[in-house]
Amino acid sequence: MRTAHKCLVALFGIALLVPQIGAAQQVPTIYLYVNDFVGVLTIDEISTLDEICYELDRYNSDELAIVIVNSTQPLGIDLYASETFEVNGVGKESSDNGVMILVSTEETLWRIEVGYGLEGVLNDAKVGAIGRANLEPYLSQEDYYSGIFYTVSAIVDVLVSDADQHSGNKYPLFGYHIDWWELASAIAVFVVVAALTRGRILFWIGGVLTRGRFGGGSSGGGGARGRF
Amino acid sequence: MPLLIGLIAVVILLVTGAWIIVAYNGLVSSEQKVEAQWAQVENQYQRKIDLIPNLVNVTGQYTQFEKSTLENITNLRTQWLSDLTSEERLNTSLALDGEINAVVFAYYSAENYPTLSSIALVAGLMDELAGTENRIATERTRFNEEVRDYNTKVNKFPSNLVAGMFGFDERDYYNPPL
Repeated sequence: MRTAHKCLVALFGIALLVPQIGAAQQVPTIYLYVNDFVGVLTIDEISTLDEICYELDRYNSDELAIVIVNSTQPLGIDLYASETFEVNGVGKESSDNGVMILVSTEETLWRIEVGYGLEGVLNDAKVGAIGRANLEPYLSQEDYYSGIFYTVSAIVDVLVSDADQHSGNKYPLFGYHIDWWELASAIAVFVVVAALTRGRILFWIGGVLTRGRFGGGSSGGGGARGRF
Repeated sequence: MPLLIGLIAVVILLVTGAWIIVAYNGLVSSEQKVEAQWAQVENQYQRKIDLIPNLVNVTGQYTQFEKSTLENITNLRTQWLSDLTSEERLNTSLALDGEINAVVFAYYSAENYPTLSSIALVAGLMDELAGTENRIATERTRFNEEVRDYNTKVNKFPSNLVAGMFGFDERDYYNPPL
């Protein structure tokens, strides 16, 4: 009986690993909201930017992703931005309201990718102007935080003032988006496995509680890019 | 004994029939995805021809462009309305690219003394041009991915039998003229 239990726990552990294995791809897996793969932002700076993006998400459900990488080769920044956006699904699935700021430090390129749903608000020229005015002057001095901060502020300005005019997808009362089916099936699986492994599942929980993922939105290639 | 054989034969027939239905529906879904994605590509070409001539006109009020360039662009817009096939539309789009190159060249040539407003305007025009082309490229990439999935289904065994039965043919990838 003990070996059967061990096998079951092992299988469950492997099942938990599968999503991570499946994520082996050319573009990174990004989480809400700031993803600094180079290390140019301090913890406090990341925290501040995260706060702003979280508030925006809560306000009108727009998802603003910030991604800093060393290089976008071999894809090139346009394809890299497009793939990262698609694979990670920035923006809510139903409204495609995602924006992604991508900075490639070695190539000195930036790109702001805009989801389908926000193309009317953040058109290419506007986004290009925001990038040139806010990102380029600071990034060329290697002041990544200021550049990104002012860019995020400008984008949030546009999105919030537009949301004030139209009623966007607001969250239900308690500020969370709950997918009832996912919740119910997760609870059911948990109960079954907990019963079978007699509580040993709790050791695996630590691996499951990872950072939040984006909502599954998509983009058509809109946005602008530049060099700094 | 014959009853058992009869029963097994019926079960095999039912399973085969069910599988044929599933394979057929899979082919239909794939083909519809290809069609829908092609419509997206055409959509982006339409967006380009709707947007770019207007933008060039607006920018042209602030910058010196060759009069003939602006006329050509207007003519291409009219020509687009009578273009029926995808190939004709692609050719019009390529001709428009040629005129846009003339616009960009004129802007950067020595005779132009760009004012502050025209710099911002032309920068915006460049962004929109780049964005338009990027959108077209993105939709074409997705179209090719859908065609790949569909062609794989059409060619793989055993669904190629169903494809042959019901007349599903391979689709061409999008290969723009060089």
